[in-house]
Amino acid sequence: MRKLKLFSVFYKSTLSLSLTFAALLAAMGGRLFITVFGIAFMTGSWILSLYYKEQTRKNEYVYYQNMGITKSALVIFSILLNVLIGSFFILYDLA
Amino acid sequence: MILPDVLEVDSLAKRYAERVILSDVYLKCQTGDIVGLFGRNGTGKSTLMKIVFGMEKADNKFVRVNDKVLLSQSQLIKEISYLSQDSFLPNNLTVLELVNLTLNSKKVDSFLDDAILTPFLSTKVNSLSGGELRYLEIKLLLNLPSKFVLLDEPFNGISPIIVQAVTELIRSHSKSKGIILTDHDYHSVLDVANRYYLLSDGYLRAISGRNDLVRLGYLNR
Repeated sequence: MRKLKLFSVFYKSTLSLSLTFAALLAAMGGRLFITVFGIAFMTGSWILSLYYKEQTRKNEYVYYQNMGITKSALVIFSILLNVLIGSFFILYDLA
Repeated sequence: MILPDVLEVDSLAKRYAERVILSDVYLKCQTGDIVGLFGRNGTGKSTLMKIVFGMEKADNKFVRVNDKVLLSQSQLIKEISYLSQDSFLPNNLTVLELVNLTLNSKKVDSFLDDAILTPFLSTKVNSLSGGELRYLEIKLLLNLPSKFVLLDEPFNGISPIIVQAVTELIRSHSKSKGIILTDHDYHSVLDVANRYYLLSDGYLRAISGRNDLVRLGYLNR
């Protein structure tokens, strides 16, 4: 349970940039707003937010490592969650 | 009689390009030990700690805990905690949120019964002063279940009162943990540690105390 909370705190710290990036791209998507949002969230959003984390708050990974979670586990978790959420938006728009 | 847990770092070698940073390093620490690691700037003390924690690759290394070789970082971080030189706590949480997130609920009350931390429980981590933040980091690490703790510059930038508090924390937790620390505040390291090593020219050698630091050129007199 604690590990899940830790993953969630890490993911939340990447979320604002992810959402902003996807929303900005989606705003240019016109009628395809939701699909573009989903695609951006699945792709560029996590690349940008993890790159930003690497550049500005890289040392936070040490905290999670001290809590028994490796950097690769955090990165994989974030990517998978972004892909899952992005897919949901795309499928919703197609339905 | 309970046998102590033992951390051994063996045959550790690291070079950057042609420069040898660490050569055939052997280091042993067991629960009850406070090992002070001395060395001038750039001699590889931080690199050594990062390698032992699995954050940095070595050209060669064996890290064993109780004779079991730990190969991956996921194995190492179960047994070893690490205080990096730079602050590492997620800074968007309050102190109370962070303590609740980090520690077992049974430990939280005794952890927070602390005159240094009490005024800051609802303060965000990024609003703490350097000394308060360092104290919080060190206290959290010492309260984790890992058997060994590596402290890279625990006394850096903190006031004498906090230095004293950190020294007491280290002493009290060394009963159940093995602690390796390095800092340029050699007075504090000599005071708190019970075994010493000097790292110079890539080699790590056990020393007996201040006189050896002078003899081997770490101190002038």
